[in-house]
Amino acid sequence: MNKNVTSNRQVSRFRWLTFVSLVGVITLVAGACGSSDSNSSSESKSTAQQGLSGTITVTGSSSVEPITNLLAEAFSEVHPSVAISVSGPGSGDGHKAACAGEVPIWNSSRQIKDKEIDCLQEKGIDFIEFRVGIDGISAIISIENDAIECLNFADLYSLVGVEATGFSKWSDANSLNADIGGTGPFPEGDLEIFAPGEESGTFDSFIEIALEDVWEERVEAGEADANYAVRPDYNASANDNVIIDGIAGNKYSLGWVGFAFADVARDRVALLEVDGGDGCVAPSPATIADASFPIARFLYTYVDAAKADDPAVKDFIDYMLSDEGQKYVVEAGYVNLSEEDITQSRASWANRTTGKTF
Amino acid sequence: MRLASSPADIAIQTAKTRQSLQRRPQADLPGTLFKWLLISFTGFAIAFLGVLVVVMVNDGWSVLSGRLSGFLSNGFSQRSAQDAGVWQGIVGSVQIGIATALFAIPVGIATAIYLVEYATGGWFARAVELNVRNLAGVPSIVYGLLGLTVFVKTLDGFTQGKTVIAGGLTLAAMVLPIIVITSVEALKAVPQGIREAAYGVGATKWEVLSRQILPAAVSTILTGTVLSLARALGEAAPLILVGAATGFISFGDSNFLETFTGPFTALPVLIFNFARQPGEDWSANAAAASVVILILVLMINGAALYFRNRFEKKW
Repeated sequence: MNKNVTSNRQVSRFRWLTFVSLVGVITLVAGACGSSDSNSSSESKSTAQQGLSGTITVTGSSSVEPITNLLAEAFSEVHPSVAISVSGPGSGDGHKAACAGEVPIWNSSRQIKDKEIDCLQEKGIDFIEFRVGIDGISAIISIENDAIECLNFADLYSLVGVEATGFSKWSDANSLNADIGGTGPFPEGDLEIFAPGEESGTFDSFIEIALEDVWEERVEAGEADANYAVRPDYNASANDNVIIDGIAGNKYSLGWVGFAFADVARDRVALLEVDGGDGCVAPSPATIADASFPIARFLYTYVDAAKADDPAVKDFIDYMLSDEGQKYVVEAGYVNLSEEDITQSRASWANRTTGKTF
Repeated sequence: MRLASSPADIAIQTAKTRQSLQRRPQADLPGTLFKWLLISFTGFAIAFLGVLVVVMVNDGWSVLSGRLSGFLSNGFSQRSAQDAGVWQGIVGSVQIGIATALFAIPVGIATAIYLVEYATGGWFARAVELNVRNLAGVPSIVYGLLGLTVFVKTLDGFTQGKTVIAGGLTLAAMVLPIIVITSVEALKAVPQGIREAAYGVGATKWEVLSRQILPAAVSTILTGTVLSLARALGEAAPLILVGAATGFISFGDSNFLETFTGPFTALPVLIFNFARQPGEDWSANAAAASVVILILVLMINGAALYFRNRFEKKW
């Protein structure tokens, strides 16, 4: 009886010891981590001389992120010792992170704003600016629909804007279209809209560039919903190929995708001309590059001038602006810069020109 | 009804009662209905899980059957969905799990021991416990904001900014209330008689705690702790806020320990990335990565079961 009690107690003590030693091991590992932290930074500095190593952190626009991802992937194959991390929380977050001195390189799908420059100046951070590519967006219809060739921003708003909610025929938009200065009237025909979902950068860009001005006027006039610019009743897809299929399969459809996707499907969809106030312009690499096609925006990358000569950062930007690096702009679904713009970007980089240059 | 007076009457009465008792289960219609109601609801719960698993495995089948080893061992790739893998996500999730456990487990268990064994009954203990219970219901994104302002910005001398440690601390803050609550419940479940008996034979408070209470509660504490870590591993939103890399990531020359103070990603963050890429290959990757994280969580839950069986003490 007595024996039994002691053995029970030994067992429970043994279990208890196992638990304590488990916690102990974990704590030891933690201690090892802590002590190695202090060595690691000095170590990585000393190895930076032989071969290329170091750290590159890029953040900012989620639209530019795919280009940077492709660049980083290729760069990492040549320089495996460089630690790289790319993230894309958004352009504004990129400028904020830069102002906090957190990143050497940040992307933006719009030019830096004055208040963001002020923030950088207060912290004494100089930046180098360049354009990396152009995000052009094509409004597309079925190739069988030859009634429409060119739309202006008011037309686009009256067909896909929030006030178009419920319009099932093109002609439903006629009275709204006439009110806001469209080029209508439109023919009859079932209006089917295929476009990227809200998570997409292309969705945001299209709203910003094509719809926002008209929409804001309508909101001020008390006519439109102030929360949504786009009608909710459209076929949303994250897959550009699904959008193209939808457009091609419906004679009176309308939609928008990144230019690169529409360009390779010219046998099935027609790329509409768009009038942004200066007459109808058809999308093409040339009209997008010289900004005469209205639904396009430049994609920017910024570099902290103080970190521009960090060996890893320098090589990465060199690679980005090289001819090989520029191929990834197209691979990511965007349009290459005009010769003039890429030359200017390269010059800014070579001379370490700080401040806004475009 | 007259009272049974003779032994024969009693025998008859007993037989009648027994008969009626025997019949009762057959006549228990509400009970039967209730049982089937419960079964059908359980079926619902299992069906949800089943559908989820079937859909994920089905969507990710091309990846899981075609290139599982490559998917597990390759890193992030933007270039082609067929080359993209989750290796860095697995490493990141394991690292974040370790960091979370290191911070959350000691603090959580210590808090619980204090609340149950030392601060018994006072208004302070009650206030803390109430607060902890409320904190357990705070959405994870709020902990992400906390992590960004406190761990990334204020404590950046310790965390080195947007690192695994900052991510781990953020998730630790998130699971801490759960660990405290389960540990408190576990300690409260140790019968009061054990404490009284131990004190009765002259044990000190430390002896009672270390020899009796904690060994008795450790299996429940560990189970709750491990389950809360499993929850932490499924979180993406707070990690993205504290700066997990959503895109390409490579660790360069840094070894496993050095990466704790470097940039990081995690499986749920990779799933987020895969899911927003266009094309069916990417959806397959997202589904396959979901299966991977499900298996990881199952393994952790398996560990919880192991701990429970290993340390469990029956009364």
